[in-house]
Amino acid sequence: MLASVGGAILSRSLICANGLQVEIIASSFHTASTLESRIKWRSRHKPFWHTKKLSKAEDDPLTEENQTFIKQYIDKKYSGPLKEEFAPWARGKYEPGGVSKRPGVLAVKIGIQPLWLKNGKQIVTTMLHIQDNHVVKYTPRTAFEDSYMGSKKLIPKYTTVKPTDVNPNMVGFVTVGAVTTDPQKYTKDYCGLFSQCGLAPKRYLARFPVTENAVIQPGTPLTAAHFRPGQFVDVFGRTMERGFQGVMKRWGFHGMPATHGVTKSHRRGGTIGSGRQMSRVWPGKKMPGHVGGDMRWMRGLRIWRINYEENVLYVSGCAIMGKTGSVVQVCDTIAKAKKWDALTKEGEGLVDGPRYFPTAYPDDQEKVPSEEYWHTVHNFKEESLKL
Amino acid sequence: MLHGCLSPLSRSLRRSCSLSTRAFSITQQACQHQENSYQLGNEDDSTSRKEMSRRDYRFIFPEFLPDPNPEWRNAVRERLERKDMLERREKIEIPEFYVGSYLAVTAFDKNSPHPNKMSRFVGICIDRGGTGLRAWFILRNSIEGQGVEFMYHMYNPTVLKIEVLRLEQRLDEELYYLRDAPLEYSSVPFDMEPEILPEGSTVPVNTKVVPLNPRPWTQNWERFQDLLSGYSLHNPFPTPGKIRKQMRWMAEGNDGWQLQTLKFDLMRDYRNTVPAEEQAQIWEEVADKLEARDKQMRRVATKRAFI
Repeated sequence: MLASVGGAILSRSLICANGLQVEIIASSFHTASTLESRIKWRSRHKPFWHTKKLSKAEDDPLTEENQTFIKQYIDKKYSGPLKEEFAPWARGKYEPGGVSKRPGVLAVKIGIQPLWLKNGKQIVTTMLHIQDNHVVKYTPRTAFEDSYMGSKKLIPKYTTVKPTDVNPNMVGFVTVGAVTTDPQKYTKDYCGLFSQCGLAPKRYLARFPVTENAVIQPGTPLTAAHFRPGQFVDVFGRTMERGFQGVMKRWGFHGMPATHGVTKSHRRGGTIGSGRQMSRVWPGKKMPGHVGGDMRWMRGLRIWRINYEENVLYVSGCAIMGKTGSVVQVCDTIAKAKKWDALTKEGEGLVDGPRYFPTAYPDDQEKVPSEEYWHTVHNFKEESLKL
Repeated sequence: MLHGCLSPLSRSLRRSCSLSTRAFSITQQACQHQENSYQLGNEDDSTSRKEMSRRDYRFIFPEFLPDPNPEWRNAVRERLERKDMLERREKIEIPEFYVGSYLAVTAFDKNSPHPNKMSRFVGICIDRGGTGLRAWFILRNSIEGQGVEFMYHMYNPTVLKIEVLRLEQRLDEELYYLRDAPLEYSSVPFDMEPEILPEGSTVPVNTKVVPLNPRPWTQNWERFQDLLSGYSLHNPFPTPGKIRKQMRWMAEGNDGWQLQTLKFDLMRDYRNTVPAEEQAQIWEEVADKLEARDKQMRRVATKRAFI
């Protein structure tokens, strides 16, 4: 049921799984429908319930006095101590056995640097800068289940099959934001997302499912002390855009020889049919197309070194998705041999789990050193390696 | 190795561009170096001379300047990398050297026959490059009639000692043509004693011109004569007519087609260099520590001399 005026869709009323009718006011949607949008790929189309982020510039420019007044108002609103209306939330305790899952952070990929291990081997590490992270919001699972998308997930696909993708340990989502920005650029709805924590709006947001003991109060800053050297992390981000690419780059085809009579088919895919019986091209036939720009997980990357002062993680590998300056999500790994429960080797110090669970709160930050290396990594302050 | 994959032509063109942004050629650069170089060891503390001389640190410590490609630049990463480089320099002396200098490097080698697992290689530096902790240089020498090259990374902690046996510059910034020259021009005796220059003297330029061997060569050296001036070609040996024609064209003082266009490509120069203002910021950050370390090393050296 859609209420529209002059073609623009103003509101949408829906019936959720629990029978309630919900009105969603569409005044600040990105695009009301896929038909009206100008986004070419359906997969890049944002869902209709996403809040519109960036606001259009005003036609009338502000006077200087008004500009300074607005800046003062913003400073006054977002400075000072955080919301203290409610008592500080309880701090959970780490429990091994797969029942502790804490949120991750948003980090900016700032570059690649070599490090050397104490056995002389050189490794390549990517530096991830945890820039201005705060917990923005906590959404309990009940709130999600009451919403449109949550209720959709709970609808069983077949009459006899129950929804299985709901982990009973996960009690909710913690939303983390990174990089504080000027609220003037953003819509009122987007700034409203940050009302729970009382902070200025963030440029990047990410959501992490958490267990009960890992719920963090909105407004808590997240820093590099959230992690410890030697642990393994998963990194999630968008890969580099490569545009429309041929089969050799896209699928790893071998192409055809450069000489020996090959006519205009050096990098092409060759034949696409199987025979008379098939009489069609298989769906999913590997052909040229768009490459890159996909969201991908990189699992089980070790943190070799952490600079707590600058909030920089040195993570193994040189192929973290995205260009320098792109934002990725970093969280504890789920890889079987590298997750916290699997790190049982004595003497390495990882048996106890995360050093600060669920995160390093402001009073923990005082005890944190300026920098820490994993014990197998050569510290540049030490003498040369004489192996 | 990466340096082998890039053609010397493209790299020397890039170098010549960066040279042109310094607004002088290598020979003039040496003179400039004479006029207002820091000349490690000079204790003069006047501010104007210090400011002028720090500009020349881009020749003495080129690895401190980041890769100019703006896609890879990040202020936080560069600052942390420079901090690591300075910490490493506190543990080992990484001296000033140029392409053409004679160096001796002592490094850990697990395949070494010596019980302490160290090996010492002496050679002439034919190229240096890399930025930050990935800075490298290549030494060339001849061992029992076989040309041998070693690439070392300056900030690798298994490199224990870097000595400069002879500090000098050559006419070119890369000497890959020594591979096609008689081996005597790449030979450096392993028992060579360090030749110490007097305090405050300028870095000498060795204007030796190396005659190349008869063809075949590893590169088409007849095409590089406008960019590299440290070698000479012998005419009386069999050369295809097409190449002889090209050589005659070059010998008349004409530029190759690439150099003709590059002279005017200011944007290419701009893209391949770090702006002077950013360079000044970098030197402001690191120069004090580098100068302090240099003074400390000099004190150690003079103490040793007296013992």
